[in-house]
Amino acid sequence: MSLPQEGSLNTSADSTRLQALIEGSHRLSSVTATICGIAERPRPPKAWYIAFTISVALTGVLLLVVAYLFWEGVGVWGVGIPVAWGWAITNFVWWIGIGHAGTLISAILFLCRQRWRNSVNRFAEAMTIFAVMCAGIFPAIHVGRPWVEYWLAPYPNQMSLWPQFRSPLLWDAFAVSTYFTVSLMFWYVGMVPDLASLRDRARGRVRQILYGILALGWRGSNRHWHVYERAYLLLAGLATPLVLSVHSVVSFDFAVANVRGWHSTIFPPYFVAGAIFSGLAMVLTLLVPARQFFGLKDFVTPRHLDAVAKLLLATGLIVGFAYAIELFHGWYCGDPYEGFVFLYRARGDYAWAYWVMTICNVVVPQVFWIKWCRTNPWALFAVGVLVNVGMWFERFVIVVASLSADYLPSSWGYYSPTWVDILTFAGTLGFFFACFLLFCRYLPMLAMAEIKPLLPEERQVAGNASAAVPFPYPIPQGEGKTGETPLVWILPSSLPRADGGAGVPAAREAGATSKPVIAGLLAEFATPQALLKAAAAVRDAGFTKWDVHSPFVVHGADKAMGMRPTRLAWFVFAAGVTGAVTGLALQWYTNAFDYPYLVSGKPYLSIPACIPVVFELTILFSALAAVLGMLGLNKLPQLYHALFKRPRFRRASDDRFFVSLEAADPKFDQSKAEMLLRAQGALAVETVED
Amino acid sequence: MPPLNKIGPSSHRAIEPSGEVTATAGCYIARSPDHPITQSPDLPITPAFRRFVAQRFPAQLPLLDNPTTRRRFCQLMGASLALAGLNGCDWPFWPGKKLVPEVKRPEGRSPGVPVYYATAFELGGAAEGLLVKSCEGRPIKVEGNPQHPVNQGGSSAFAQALILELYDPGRSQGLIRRRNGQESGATWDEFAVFLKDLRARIGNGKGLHILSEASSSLSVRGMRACLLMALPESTMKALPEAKWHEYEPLSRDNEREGTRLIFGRPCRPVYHLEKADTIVSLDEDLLGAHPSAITHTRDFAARRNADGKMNRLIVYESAWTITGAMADSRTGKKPSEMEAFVRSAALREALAGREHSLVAAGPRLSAQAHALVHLLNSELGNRGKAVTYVADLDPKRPGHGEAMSELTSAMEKDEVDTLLILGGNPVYDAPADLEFVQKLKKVPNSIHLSLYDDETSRACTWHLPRAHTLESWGDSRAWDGTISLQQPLVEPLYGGKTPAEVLAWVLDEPLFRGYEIAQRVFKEATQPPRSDEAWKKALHEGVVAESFSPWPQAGEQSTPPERSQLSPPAAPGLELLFVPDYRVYDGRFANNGWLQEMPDPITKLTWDNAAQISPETARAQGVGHGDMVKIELEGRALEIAVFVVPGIADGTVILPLGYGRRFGGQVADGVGFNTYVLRTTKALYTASGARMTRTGATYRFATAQDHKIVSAVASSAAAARTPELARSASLSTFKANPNFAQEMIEHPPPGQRSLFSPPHEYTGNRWGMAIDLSRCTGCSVCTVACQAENNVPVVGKDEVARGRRMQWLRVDRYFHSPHPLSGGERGTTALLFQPVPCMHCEKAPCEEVCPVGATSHSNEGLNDMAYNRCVGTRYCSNNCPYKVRRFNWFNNHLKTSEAEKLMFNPDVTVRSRGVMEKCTYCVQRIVQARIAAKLAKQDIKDGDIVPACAQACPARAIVFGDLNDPKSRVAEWAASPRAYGLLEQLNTRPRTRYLARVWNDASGLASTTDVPPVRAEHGRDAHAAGGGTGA
Repeated sequence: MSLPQEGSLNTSADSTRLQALIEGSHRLSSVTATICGIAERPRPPKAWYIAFTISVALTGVLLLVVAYLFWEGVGVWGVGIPVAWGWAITNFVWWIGIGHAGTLISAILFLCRQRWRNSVNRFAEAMTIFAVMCAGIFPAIHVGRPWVEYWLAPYPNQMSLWPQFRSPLLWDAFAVSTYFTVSLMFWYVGMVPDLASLRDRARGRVRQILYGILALGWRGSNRHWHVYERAYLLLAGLATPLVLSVHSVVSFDFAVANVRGWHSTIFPPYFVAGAIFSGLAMVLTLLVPARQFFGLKDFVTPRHLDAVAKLLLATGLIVGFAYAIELFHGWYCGDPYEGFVFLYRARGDYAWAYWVMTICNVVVPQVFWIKWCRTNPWALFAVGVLVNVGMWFERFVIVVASLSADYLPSSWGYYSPTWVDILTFAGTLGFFFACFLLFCRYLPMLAMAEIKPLLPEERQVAGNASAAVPFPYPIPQGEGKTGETPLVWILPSSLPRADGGAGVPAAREAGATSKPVIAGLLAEFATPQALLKAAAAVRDAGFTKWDVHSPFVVHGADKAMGMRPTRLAWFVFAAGVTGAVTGLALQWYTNAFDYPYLVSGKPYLSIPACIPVVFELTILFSALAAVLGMLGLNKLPQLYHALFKRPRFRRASDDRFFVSLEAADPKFDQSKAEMLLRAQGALAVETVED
Repeated sequence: MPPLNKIGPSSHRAIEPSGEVTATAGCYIARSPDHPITQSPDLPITPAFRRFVAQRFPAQLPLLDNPTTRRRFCQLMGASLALAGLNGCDWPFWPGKKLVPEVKRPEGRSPGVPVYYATAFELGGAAEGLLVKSCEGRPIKVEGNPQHPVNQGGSSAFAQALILELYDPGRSQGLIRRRNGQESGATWDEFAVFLKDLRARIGNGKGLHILSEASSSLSVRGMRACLLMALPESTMKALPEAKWHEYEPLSRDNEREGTRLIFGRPCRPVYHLEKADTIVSLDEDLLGAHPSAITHTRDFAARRNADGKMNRLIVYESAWTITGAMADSRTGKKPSEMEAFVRSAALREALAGREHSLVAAGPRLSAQAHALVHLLNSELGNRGKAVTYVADLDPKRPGHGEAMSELTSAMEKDEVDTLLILGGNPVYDAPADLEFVQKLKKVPNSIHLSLYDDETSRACTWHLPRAHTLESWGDSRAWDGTISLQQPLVEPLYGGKTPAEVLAWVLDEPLFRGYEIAQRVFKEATQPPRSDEAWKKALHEGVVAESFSPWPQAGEQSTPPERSQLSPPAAPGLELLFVPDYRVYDGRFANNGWLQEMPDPITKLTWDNAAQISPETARAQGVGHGDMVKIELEGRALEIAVFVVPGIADGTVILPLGYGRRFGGQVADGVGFNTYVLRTTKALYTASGARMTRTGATYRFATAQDHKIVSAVASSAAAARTPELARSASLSTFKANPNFAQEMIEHPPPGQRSLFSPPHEYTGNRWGMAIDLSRCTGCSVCTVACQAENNVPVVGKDEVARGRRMQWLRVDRYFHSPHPLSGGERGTTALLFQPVPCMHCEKAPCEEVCPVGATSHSNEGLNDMAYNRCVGTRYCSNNCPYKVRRFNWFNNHLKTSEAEKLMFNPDVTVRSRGVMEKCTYCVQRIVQARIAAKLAKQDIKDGDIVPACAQACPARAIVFGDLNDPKSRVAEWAASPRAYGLLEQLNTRPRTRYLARVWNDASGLASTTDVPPVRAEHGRDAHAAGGGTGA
């Protein structure tokens, strides 16, 4: 989705500049065919099988070591006192950091109108989801008694005990779960139109049903696009502060504590920058091989890689600056304990880790000042991997080096991991890649509906002639009804069926004798321009129950259809207020009213400590309202619709544009309406029966 | 055993199987009426009956053919369960006896209310008096007997660990007979048969040798007299030809010999440290390894009051001892130099003219040196004041080394037919040159009475289980001669016998039990005989008042040994010094996990011993910390790991004894290195001419401190930080500026101490603790006492190495280098000890980070831990600047044996896996005091609550009480100008306060250049300047 640009319709002057975003002579249909083709291939490349086998094996290892950990206790790791958090928390922060690039690309770059994001956002969002899943594993398994972890949830219980809302860990639980929920919704909502494409092209029954369910009955209707775009924009607006907040809250785990080396006010921005830095590095690590293996070079062009590299360089500079500021602060603050921590990092027992971190994170990204490095896939891949290593060590240095030598020298101690630590981490890498490979195999890797508008206007024409990328089904040009495969996947059995084609259960044939009901008319157009023209004509003719359908959002369609703005934003606002009030009331009720207990000599209710949870609940409620509101206003999921019965309509998610008139419209007169549509240059007009 | 009101053992009453059992606890099977239609199996099921059933009970018809029904199954299961329960009534510790509930409550006993019994514990021939807490018949905690003159409430770590030893599942659980490489269990009856044969064979005892460990017990001595002498009044059949030997690997024979040289007969010097202004210790660990160390520590600490008349301790020693660590002036000297120093005139001249002094020489010095020191004390007028003498109990016995030599030569000459070894472990700890184990093989019958089936037991033909101290009737004498009675807390768990009882068996008086022996000896040992009342009183109090006998000072015979007669010059090479270990003593406590895990006060090493050398020696020898080395001495070799400790005399290798056990038990075996292999009769304590070579291997220590943090930047930071953590100053600095400790660090000004207004006020009791670093000797008894009180698990070496020890109270040890009074002289090092329990911060950093509120503040200001709410994030530990929180990384009690479970304090939760724990200020004792006060309708008085650490502390360095009560001791201490809070600049507001240590730099005997560690400008402009926290 791109922001509505008034009157631009991709014909603005920058179309030449945009051209570099998609290479090759792609038309709408070839975009669909290329991207859907990956998921439709009967067999993925051999490399996929090898990678997937390794990943699944490592996932199995993860399950085994976690089982062992649960059986024996966290003592199987190398942690002890003083380093009570070791690799687990290092890995948690690392993974959650990686999970930041997706939402950054999806949301922040979306708001910043960075159109190059459209080729990488799906990919990065998927990475986010899987990385956050991996991140979530660690806090869940690192506690001493994982079976009572649900005590972190504020649920009414017999013990009358509530969580302690001043703890950053609780904020973390709220932040990470909100982030995961919102990212997942964002990813899924963005994927719905592309799932519709997969559904429409699907051949096997299983695929038809699964993609059909996942696509929620998306028809590319402009009335849907309208609410959908607003919801997406709101989600982006909500996810932007969220992505900044999550790593800020993660940094509070450290910044709120009084361990020297943790207790620092620069942690929130420093962590966010570092998170985005590491996330972009992971994007490079995955994108470079993926575009190679899956033939996506036309869509993920050097220009994209260059943009990611520049962003990486920028965030890397922020991270380097933060390192320098930490050192400066250690020297300037005059606190010998603070100063010692940084001296210790650089010259103490963990100096090796510190220098790995500094070289990988500060020195290595500087190669991106050279253009060749920004566009050469192997250089990008190498830097991506090194930055990932460096960022892991950054978290290691923060977590372990600070703890190992804090205040009392008598308690200092060196930490070293055990084989269980190492296998657990390796296991999450396996899980991550296994998820990612499944994503590559079965879901649209790139956002087709967002790439298509980036095609130059002249190529946004239905590519019927393109023999190289044929639509998987023969589309009859006339009124022919034979040889169709039903497009309606899940039918209420009570509905009388018009056609009893192959695959429809015999039970339905009972109703086949009844007379078909004319539900409306469907007109097909070749270009968005033709669609807009037709829409304006239908609007002027005074129709009210009608719609236009397009494979991507056609700007100007709202105006052409004479639609009024959606009320979705008001729902979201109300939900946000509810979330904020809920958050505050929850904390007041649980910690100050129902069961107050004295903690660190603090007041029972103190607003500053309430802010993180209030914030997270505000975002969570709003985002849920945006998504549920969008679905509600669009009356989705709606798995049956009369239009789906038209084979022609399958191309609404590929390269064709449609106007549909409903018979229920008071102005509906079949012959007149057909005349009107044909007059607008419709390629075909056909009746839709219910 | 006669019933004794309040003073008898508190075991469950066990009755003989023949006795009348009035009721068994729930162990009966209720007969349930049979199923209505289930017939007796011998009645045939007639068709008529089948019809009847079909009519009246159609649903039950199938049961006729298949009688195994659900109900029948349930009946059988119920019966099985009930039988299983019945089985549980057989008390495993008294096989063959039945345990019955106390249908009638014994007088003076309430369930749930612990009972305390006074008893005594003997170590190396000197006793300390104990008060043992017993809950429902289970002894669970040892405390010092407040009425005992030695203990006065304090105790040693060994005494604290007795409980674990009692329940140790590794203890020997029965008699073992070993013949021709065969090993078989045996019974006391079989042993009696053996004894009968023996007596028949040896007649008057010829060929019977008895090797006993040192014992001051009147009972043992009484039985010994019966055995060796045909006493006119005794009816027992004596064995006058039998030979008695006494051997103790760590003895004070040189001291004893020194008194003989001076006074003509051996006696024991008794030190009264409270009477001495200047104390000079010559390699004498007055506060640590001395049999009367508890007394010394208390008396010494009482005079460490910087506000009053402070004593001054000057120590010359080769190894680091905790006495040296407490010294105002400590000089490291090689063992050979030590002798020379004692003989030189320097000491005498330096002390000349000083009143109220005391010179004490250590057991490793020669007898001549001791004689000189005794003389010196006389000359200085200390005799009768700071040092008095009591008669030696056994003036005629030869030295321990000699006794062992005599025995082994008799064994060599095949004169020994039967060797009865009462306690001790000579196969392990006899001097290596005597080759005891080889010679033991020539003895046809050897009998070893021991707690463990150890090295000696395995080389003997008989092993007899010994009754544990807490299972024994008996008596013993403290170092000063005070008699203490010993009474059992339980019946012997494994049928063990005391040495006196075994002697009774040898005398063919097997029914003469420990109780009768102790009682008879007690009553008859004095003229006129003591009454029953006196016995009961002594038993109740655990101590016989005025029972020590000061040796009349008249008979002084002073032929001083030749001052010029120097000890033989040390051979070139390294000098070795064998020292007792603070944890396993001579090895006898090696199977005690609490002691093994107690960090050594000096090295902080756990689960190991090591060859301790100074950094200079390490450099000279080309070895490093953790290197394995081979130490060779006169053809004997020992491979041992090197532990580098600054402050040890250069050129000296300190070899702690007691490790490297082969058959010490599951816990002891393979821990550390057996240093006895280098110890010979010639060199029992010191040796010279040793060579050290690296083997190339390295060794992994599990230290409780400085674990693997080796970088230079960390070491220098630690050194820089030490002065402000364990604060100290010289007496003159303190007098010039009493507030030195508070001014050492900038802390938040009072007005700016809380962001929250009003801050939380504690209006009721406000519990707090204060620890006086001037008093604390670092002996670590508090650590073990806390472990015993609070069911703290033992985790083992590997876990300690991972930083997972569980002790709630640790004692931090810091090197203060250079010594604060040394004037910066290189090589002089002082030690600072700092016990660190939970600080119970009023603004506890641990609490705010716990996501589930498992740790929060009580309204009395305790930082409470709700174990069963804890999820185990360990965030609290990270956020605790004091690192006092301990985490259960595993289920540490999974391997706790059934016997050890009896040891748990029922008032303290046994923590499971995955939860955090830490010092609670012994909240269970607070609650008990509160309940008692409530019942008495009183307020809790100061001193009503004594946490386990404070109770055990012989130095009385820990006080606990209500900070809101200005008259309480803790409030007084907290108001002391020396009081400070650890890391107070973090604004945690610790409730545990420390009183800074003050060194006495009064002139004399050592340089007194003072290094004032104080910021001069503090208090005037530092607050105004604001900002950072410099030191």
